[in-house]
Amino acid sequence: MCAACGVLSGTPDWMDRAGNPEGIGGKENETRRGERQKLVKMVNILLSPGKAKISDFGEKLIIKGPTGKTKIVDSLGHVWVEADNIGLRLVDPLDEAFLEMIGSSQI
Amino acid sequence: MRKNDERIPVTVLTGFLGSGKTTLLQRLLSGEEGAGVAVLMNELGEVSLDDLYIQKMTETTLVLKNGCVCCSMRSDLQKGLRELIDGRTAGTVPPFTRILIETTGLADPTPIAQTLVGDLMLRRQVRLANIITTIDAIFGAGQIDTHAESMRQAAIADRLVLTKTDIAEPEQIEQAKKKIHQVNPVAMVLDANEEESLWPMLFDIDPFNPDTKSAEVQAWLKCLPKIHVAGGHRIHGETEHVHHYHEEHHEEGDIQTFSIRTEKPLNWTAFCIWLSALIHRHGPQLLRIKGLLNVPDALGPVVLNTVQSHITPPMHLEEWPNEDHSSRIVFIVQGISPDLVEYSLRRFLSILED
Repeated sequence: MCAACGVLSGTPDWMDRAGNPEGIGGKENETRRGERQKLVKMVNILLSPGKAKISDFGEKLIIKGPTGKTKIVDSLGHVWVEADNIGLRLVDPLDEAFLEMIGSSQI
Repeated sequence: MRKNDERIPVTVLTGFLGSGKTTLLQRLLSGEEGAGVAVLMNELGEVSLDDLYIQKMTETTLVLKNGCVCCSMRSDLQKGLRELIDGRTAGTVPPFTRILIETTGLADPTPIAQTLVGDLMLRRQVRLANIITTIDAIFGAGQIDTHAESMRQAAIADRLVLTKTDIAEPEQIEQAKKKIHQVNPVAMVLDANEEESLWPMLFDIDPFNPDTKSAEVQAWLKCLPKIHVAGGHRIHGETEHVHHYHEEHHEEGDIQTFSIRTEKPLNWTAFCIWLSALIHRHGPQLLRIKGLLNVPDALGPVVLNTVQSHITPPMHLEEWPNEDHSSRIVFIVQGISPDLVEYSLRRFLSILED
């Protein structure tokens, strides 16, 4: 259970669309796997300046830090918590330096 | 597809010291409406219930003549809620369909929201429905100016109940209304002395009630033309035009209200990544976020509602309220730059959508 987002292990995340009967709906041909791959790709853009990344692990995600240390997390909300825990207080949407950094890392 | 949430809705009643919160609670408990409501208060003795109750179930639970169940939580909200729900299940507490929690001395309901989601059993059974804040018509404007707790309580509310309007001067009432509009232009403002029955206005319009959630959204959408639209600076390559309304810049202390609007449908994954990171990093300062979003392939316009670090699972309306299908998000924040929030969202959407 994440105190920040209240997500229980094994329950749909509030943002999930494919296969989530309590969600907001989505494309008919979108699969949960396809949705998660997009999520992983986008989050990794944000984590790349800190040399961290996440990968899909069934219903969970694995976050890998710059030292190679990994941690399994339940959902996106937990990714930010674990990123902090491994010393990566990098992802701050209101940090102008971070906002410029994510743009430049796309080159 | 979930059309409505079956969990027990929880309303939080808060208000500054002397703002009339207890008086309002007394009135609600004395009225005819009340059947099906369980009220959790810190101590039963806070409100005069001697003439109101018909049955004393336990030392901490009373049943009132109007059907209300009153319970004392004795400063332990989690335990109080669990006992209430367990009692309902066991039949030792009369059935109820709503819970009203009266706060004492809390500056904001975040700890309550966290209790509701942090407890495994509670999260499956209850949900935060709305927040009601009482404001003293005589002293409320000054209290908001001088007490950060009062300002936050007003900023965070869904309903603002103006009390003591029967004894306040017209100028004082006007000042109070102006002040609360500056702090929270999207909350519904009610005059405790003008509404014959507060109950429907306080409780019946629920964003998760399929019959009324559209009304709830339309109520705050009406405020948008008067809310400052953040941003307006184009980033390189951006083609979307940001609209500016005739606006009042709502800034009170360091609490600010602003809106963001985008005509291009939102990339839901990118938006959720941004929102979750923003709330993780700045949750306590994000007093309220309310949005109506255009998300491609969603079952309808998506309703967003957050209270600090608490995100209510997004719902959707059956249809758009009018021909405007742009995404509109209202923020009430403390110590955060509106333009930076707007720029951040555009930046995230631009980078992540590529």
